[in-house]
Amino acid sequence: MQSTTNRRVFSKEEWEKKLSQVQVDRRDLNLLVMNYLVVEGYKDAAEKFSEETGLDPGVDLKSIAERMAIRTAVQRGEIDKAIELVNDVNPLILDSNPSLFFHLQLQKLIELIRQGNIEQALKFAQEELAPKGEENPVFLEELERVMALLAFEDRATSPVGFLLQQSQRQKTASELNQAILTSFAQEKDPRLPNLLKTLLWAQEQLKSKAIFPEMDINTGVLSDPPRE
Amino acid sequence: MKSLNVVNTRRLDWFETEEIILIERAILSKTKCFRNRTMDKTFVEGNFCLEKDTTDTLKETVKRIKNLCVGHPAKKREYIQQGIIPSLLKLIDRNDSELTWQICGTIGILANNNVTGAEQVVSASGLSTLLSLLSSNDERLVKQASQCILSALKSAESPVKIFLENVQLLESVCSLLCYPQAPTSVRECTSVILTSCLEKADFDQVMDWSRISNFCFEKIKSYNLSDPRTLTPYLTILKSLTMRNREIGKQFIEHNLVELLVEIMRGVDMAMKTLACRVYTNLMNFSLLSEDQASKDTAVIIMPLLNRMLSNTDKNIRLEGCKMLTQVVAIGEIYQKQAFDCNLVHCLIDLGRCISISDIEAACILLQAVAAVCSLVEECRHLVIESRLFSLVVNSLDTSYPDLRIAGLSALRSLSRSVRNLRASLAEAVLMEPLLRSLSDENKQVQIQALSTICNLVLYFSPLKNSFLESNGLTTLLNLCYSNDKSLKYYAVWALKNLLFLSGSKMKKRIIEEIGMDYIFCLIEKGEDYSFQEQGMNLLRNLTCTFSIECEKETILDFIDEHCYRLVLCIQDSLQSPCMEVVLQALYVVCNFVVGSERHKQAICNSKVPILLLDFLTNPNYLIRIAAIWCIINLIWKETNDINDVANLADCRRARIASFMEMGYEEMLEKLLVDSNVEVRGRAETALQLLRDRTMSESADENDYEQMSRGILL
Repeated sequence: MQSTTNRRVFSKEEWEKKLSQVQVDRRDLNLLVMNYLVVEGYKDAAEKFSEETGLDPGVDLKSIAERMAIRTAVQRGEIDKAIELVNDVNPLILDSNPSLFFHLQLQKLIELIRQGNIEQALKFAQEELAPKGEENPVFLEELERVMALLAFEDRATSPVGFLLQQSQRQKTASELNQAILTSFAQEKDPRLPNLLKTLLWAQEQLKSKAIFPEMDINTGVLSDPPRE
Repeated sequence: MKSLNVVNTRRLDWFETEEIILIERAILSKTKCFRNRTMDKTFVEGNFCLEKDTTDTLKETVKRIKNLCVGHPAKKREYIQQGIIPSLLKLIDRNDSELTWQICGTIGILANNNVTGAEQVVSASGLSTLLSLLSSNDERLVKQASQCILSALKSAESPVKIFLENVQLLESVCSLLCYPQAPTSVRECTSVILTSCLEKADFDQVMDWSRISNFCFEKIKSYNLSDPRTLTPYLTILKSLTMRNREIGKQFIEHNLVELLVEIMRGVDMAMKTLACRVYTNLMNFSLLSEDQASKDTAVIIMPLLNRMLSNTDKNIRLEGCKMLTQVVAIGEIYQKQAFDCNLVHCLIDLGRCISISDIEAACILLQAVAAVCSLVEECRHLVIESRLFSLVVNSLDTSYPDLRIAGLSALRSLSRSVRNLRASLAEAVLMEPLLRSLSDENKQVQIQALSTICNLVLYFSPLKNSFLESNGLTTLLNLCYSNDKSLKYYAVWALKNLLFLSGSKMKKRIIEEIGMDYIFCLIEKGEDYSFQEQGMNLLRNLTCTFSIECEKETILDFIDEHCYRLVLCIQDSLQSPCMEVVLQALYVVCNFVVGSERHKQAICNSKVPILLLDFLTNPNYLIRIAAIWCIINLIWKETNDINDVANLADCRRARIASFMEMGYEEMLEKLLVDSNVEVRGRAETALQLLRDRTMSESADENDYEQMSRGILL
């Protein structure tokens, strides 16, 4: 079985046999799936999965709905509504996290600019955001970047046009979602993606020692081992 | 609404937006007194007149105030100054769940990071009102009330005072924790309250904590493997309980929970790992774990965790790591070595780069860790002294914050134990001036730490000894020897004792002239307690030592000769002390006192000392046995320093030996030839040879003798 490069070679059959010998607790796999559904906010799926597997989701499913309502509000640009909803969930989330609160306010400013409500945008920036920028140079820089939108006639194609893209709302929504999860003492990130990253890393490490059928992460299918 | 701006336009400019005007209208339209008054006057009276609103309006109003205050410290301050918190607390009486929920959220915000707000919650009996809400069936309300309580406790200046004054309230917190159906939020909230209370020493006596510890043990035993975080409240409480209470630590082990603790320590959840490590360290601190197991777990789990914490990007986690490190390495030298091996000293040095002296709390925590990690291990000291962290230590001595000065002095005290490094870096730093200033500090703890540091710096090998004497340090030290404060006096005597250690006769004379032999005798005769008697005897031990680092062959000091009678009486009394530390020092004094003087030998032999020495040969403490044998050796050794009177000296010695033989010394020493301690056996053999072969010393190498007899005295 020794190759010329001293790497051990495994045929697909051998490898599959070895994989089948690894004992994985089904409950652990289910927990992994449940963790993904809960963290990512798939409330209905988590509910169904809980019914089918008998697993406790570990959180009040209602809290997932609340979290998703907040996420949706940010993604729609309804920042005041989102803030109000967060404050209903736990008012300390924003009060104890000045950076997150500032980012939400910046998003509100972006929405005002997007709507063309320039007068109100200027007033809001001046009264609410500028004092915070004075205290914190990072905030000031971020504020200046948003305010730069006002300098362009065609804002969407301007160098700071990305701020008006949906991805900016997503970014703010994710930051908020993570803060809410942390406040529930829940993990901020699902475990599954990390596990997949570990799998890829382990495959890379193994390549220097063995020739084996690698797993395609997208399909979960084992490839044929490369020939020496 | 424009009238709102009459009082202070700048201050109230946030009332301008349309939304806020609506809020104020909701509050103020029901406030009859408002129309003819300025806003300030209405608020100063602490009366929002919210009571007159309908519940529905109030819900809306309170909610809006909450949203208005989130993230706006200035707005919070305004509301708090106008006395909104007591008004909101009163509204809880309406028993409307939704309104109460909004109120809890709003008060939580007002008290969050605001000392005044938090104090208002506590002073307005808010805590008991809020605690009563924790037994509600409305889970949402319970959660909100818990958060509100935690906000207030976190920000209040002395959050646990109210529980110390009202034990009933504390009992109710315990009942809430132990209530079988208590939701997670209640368990978290009550555990934080109890932990805060337990961290104040006084609370140990306030109530019997066994009910709580037993509850926590049971909960931990039945924990859910898939989510160890459910253990957080119980481990948090046990962390605080095992910190001071050995018995509870013992029970922890008896409940077979150590294995579980190690499992959590090995886990991935950083917060849980930290918590478990804290409990584990407490158990180690009380020597409740086997040394082998503890040192292995510390090396494999705790030190790497501390490395991760100290290398974290979050400064708070790094400081938490510092606190944990301080606790672990204080247990023993082995852990300081492990900390060194795990690169933790480098981590502290790195942390020092991002902490300025103006960040008082952080600098204190860091310096305490430096003090702890450097107290016994030379390699750690070397790294710190050679790094920029050392300048933080030196600079801390000159700050106006007592806590920082104490932490700095405590670090310097550990660093000053370094024999090798003392010669180089410490001597270069301008230390003596701030140190001497600290000796006269207004804060007693600063003085004590400074004295402890001086103790190390005035030892014979210290290059700073001369600097201390030249800066008139001796006068300050002698003044402190007369301090009415027991601790100050104790440490001052200690420093004086170290100053005398291996000093030449010139220095000894100078010190005795200034302080007087009477002072030393009084310490022993009228010492407040054994520790002073021990120190007094130790002073005499160093004073009577005729070997000095200057290598001068000292004659027996005249000033000692003058006090020979009183000294022998003092020795005799001290040898009969029930305190073995005092006895040991007295034996050392005998050893030193009789070297080179036939007159002193005779003075001792004419007292009760030889009889007492005989008894000490069977003392269970091997150190006492060794010291007693040394006394015998020195008493029967042939002196050669007085060549003019060799014949007389030999006669005296023979007579002494005869008397010792008669007293049964030979039999006693023979028994010690099979002693369990190797040094006792060796010394007993030497003493027996001297007793039996009366000519031995005549043929012995004098240098060997000098070394041998003086080896123990230093």
